[in-house]
This record gives sequence, C-alpha cells and structure tokens, in this order.
Amino acid sequence: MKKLFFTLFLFTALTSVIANAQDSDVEELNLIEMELDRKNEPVAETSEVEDSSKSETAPSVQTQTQSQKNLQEVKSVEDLNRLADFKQVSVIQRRFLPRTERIQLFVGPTLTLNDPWFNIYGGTLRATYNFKEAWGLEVGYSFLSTGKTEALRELSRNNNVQTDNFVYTKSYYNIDVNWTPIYGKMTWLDQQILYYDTYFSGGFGGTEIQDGKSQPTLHIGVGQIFSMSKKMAFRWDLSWNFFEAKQIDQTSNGSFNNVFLSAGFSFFFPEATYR
Amino acid sequence: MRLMCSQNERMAKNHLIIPFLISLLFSIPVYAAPSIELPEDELAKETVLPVFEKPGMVRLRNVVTRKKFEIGLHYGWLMTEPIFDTSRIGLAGYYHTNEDTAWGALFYAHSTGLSTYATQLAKPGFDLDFNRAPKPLYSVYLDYNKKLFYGKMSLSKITSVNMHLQALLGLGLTQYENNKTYPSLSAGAGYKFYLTKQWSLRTDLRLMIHQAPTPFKTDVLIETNQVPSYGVFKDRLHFTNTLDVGFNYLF
Repeated sequence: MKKLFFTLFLFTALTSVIANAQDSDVEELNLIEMELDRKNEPVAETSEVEDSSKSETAPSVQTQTQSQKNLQEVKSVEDLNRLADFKQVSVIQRRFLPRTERIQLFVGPTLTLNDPWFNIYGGTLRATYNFKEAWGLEVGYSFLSTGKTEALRELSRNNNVQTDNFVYTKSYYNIDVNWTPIYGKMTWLDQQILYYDTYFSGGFGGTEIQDGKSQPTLHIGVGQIFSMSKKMAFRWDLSWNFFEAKQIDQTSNGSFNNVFLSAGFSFFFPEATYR
Repeated sequence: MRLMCSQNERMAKNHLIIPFLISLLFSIPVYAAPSIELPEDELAKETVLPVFEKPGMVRLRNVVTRKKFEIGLHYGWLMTEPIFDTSRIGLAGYYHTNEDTAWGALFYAHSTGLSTYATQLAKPGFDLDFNRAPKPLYSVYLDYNKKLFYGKMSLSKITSVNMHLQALLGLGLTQYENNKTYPSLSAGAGYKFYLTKQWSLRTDLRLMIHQAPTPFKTDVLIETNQVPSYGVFKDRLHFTNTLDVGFNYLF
C-alpha cells in the first residue's frame, strides 16, 4: 500500500505542479502548429488566414509563393533579414528556461519501480552544470530506505529460503552526461501552456548494496523539466541502473538492474537576467 | 593679413571641434550600452506568421483525435513480478470520444515462462519448482484515458513531434492456469508521441492492484514432492508495476 500511495503522490504532484506552473496564452502553441502545417502544405494552397487578409492586403499568389519560400529557407538568424517588411513578421522563439553556463540543483523523492522483493524509497540530490544549452555534466547521490515485500516474506516463511543475501540497493552515486535535444510546449486541457525540456543522460557510478559493497554501475536515464520560472522547474527522472552482484545462491555473479522514478524541483543558478 | 589668417584658422578649428564634440556626445551612449550576447543554440530557428483575424482557426490541432479509432500493438513489462515471466504482448483498440477522452479495450497474452529469480530458486540448494504454481495466461482490460496535456516538442530544432500526456485508468480480468479469473484495477500515466498524424509511439506506466494466487506454498514446490493441485495456492492481493511500450495507428 505504501508503494501505491507513494506512486499516486508522485503522479498527483506532477499534474498539480505543472498545471499551476504558468499562466500563458494557449494560442502561442497553436501558432507554432499552424506554421508547421503551412510548411507541410503545397505552396499553391491558400489557407483560411490568407483568405481573411485578402480584403485588406490582397497579396498576390506570387508574393505568397515568395513568402513561403522565404519562410522555408530561413536557416539562421541572419536569414531573417530577407523577410519582406510589414508583410511577414518573424518571431524568434527562445527557450523559456535557459541553461547555458548555469547550475541546476535538483532534489526530490525517489523510488524503485522494478524490485519484486523490496520496497525501496528515498531521496535524490543532483547538481548539473550546462556548458552548452543541450549538453551538461551531472553528479548525483540517492539515499534509500528498504522494506520487505509480501512476496519476500512469503518466500522466507513458506519456503524456508534465507533471504538475507537478496540484493537490494542502499545508495547510489553517479556522474552523467546530460543531453537535452528536445524542448517543447504543451497545453493543459487547452487552458495553460507549459514549457518543458526532455533530456537523456548516461554515465557511471556506484551502487551500495545490502552487504555494504559498492558495485560499479552503468546508468542511463530520461526525464523532463517543466519550467515554472526562469530559476525553478519541476523535474521527473526515470533512471535505469545496471550492475553486477552475487546471485541468490551466492556462488555466481549475475546482472541486476534498478529502475528509479524521481520527481522533485530544480533550482537554477545564477538567475537568467538577460531575458 | 596674418590676423585674418589666424582668425580663419580659429574659425576652421571651431568648425571642426564642434562637430567632433557633438559626435562624441552622441557616441558616448552607444559605447555605454551593455553588450547582450545570446548563445546561438538558445535561439530557435522557427518563424511564424501572425494571425490577426481568426484566432479560432489556429485552435485546430495538428493531430485531431476526436471521433477517431485507434489500434495498437504493445509490449508489456510486469516490473515487480517475482516468479513468472515478466513479459506480455498486448493488442489495443481505442475510440476517442473527444480531444480529451478515449475509451479502449486491451488484450494481453502473458509469456508462460519463469523469471530469472525463479530460475535461480530452482537450482540445487533451493529446489523450488515454480512451474507447479498457476501462471497468468490472458488479461483483458477496459481502459479510460484522460488526455490532460497536448503538446509539441522540437527535436534538436530539426523536426517536431506532437504528443499527449494522459492519465490512465483500467479495469480488467486475468485468466490463470487454475481456470480462475481474477479482477484487477490499474492507474497510471502515459505518453503518446505522434510520429505522423496516424502513427504514434505509446508508453504507459501503471500501478496494477490485482487479486491472484500466490506461488509461495510450503512443501509443494519442492521437486521431489508430489505435484499439487492448483487449489492449494491461496489467493491474495498483489501490487505490480507495469510498463508498456507500443505503436498505435489512428484512423
């Protein structure tokens, strides 16, 4: 039941926090969608918006074709000066929460999703430095508490199996490379816009297991950061750790993996003052 | 003559000095202005056209799901299953009543092997044969999806993908080898990434609460003992985390 409540708590926290994160205009996202639709449409097609503006500006088909061409050819900031005055307005989308040369401190509860024998809960602390917007270096530490599941108690009680040797994780530390190739916006029931980044991480670390030994660990992860302001964000993270340890019979080594789900808040330093 | 020359020179100097001072005066704020530099990779490359007349038009979503059907093929991982194989394959069918809600049916066929833990417990020293316990065979669920978030994401500013973040609620039945059917309730959250307007990649994470026979039973699992009937395995409530990954087609 603890796991149930914990999971529901995390999910509730996720939805409630990001739902209340920002007040913004839902049409901003729709504008981006419309622009992408335009890119996919044949040039000769005339959209509803163009029709509506005909009475005022009456752009010729040739002008529209040139406009579409100009839009599609924009590859860099310098290309924007090719846009015709007053007929096209370019909007440069900047990331709501810039991260270049900033430090991110993340703190939040964590739990293991895939251990059938132990309920493992705890907290995680992480510090990230982004030397580029998409690339960062992260160090982290997770401290965990463990309780036996009903399955383990039954195995011990009914089948007389010594369960002290069953592997579980007591703590974990890591150093990762973070790659953030994905950013976007989403609407919450057409009411609010949320800005978020999706990242992937990979690295190495050490897992302290039940016998006190630290096992070399390979780590991969994925997560999202939902901006609440330019210095604070809600973040969830799904981490998958792989390490080797002695199996139940204590005679041979086997591979183990832990899936950790973490959710909490990130704080960014120094503040982005140039926005 | 020399006096006139010197006066002309002085006037010429004044004419030079005044414009110089004026230009200097105007140039000071220019040099005093702070230099703002933005990292190039922070600047996205999209441009958009403004819409002044009909904002309603742009409320149309890139991926419209209302009144559409969806079918899918899923792989399911029973993350906290201790004894039986943790894999299952599923077929899904959904109907989207509107942009916020979808109702569906899921069918899963469970893999009937044993987990790595059960394989270890079968080794000498433990001699526990969990093949004697009833395994899950099939599951069916009625699934309710609440599409809380609809969004768009840019992949390295090269392409963009539409997505849904949705809350999931399922009610189902699981058939076991003991010819009994057990109820289950699941709740969770999932992402759906639209690769095209029809095809999507779906991931669901759920907590499943279900009644099922417990495979841990005194004596009867030992290989040298007589094979028991399935009836000796008692039923109890289980909590299982599940992770599904699959492809869906919208039409």
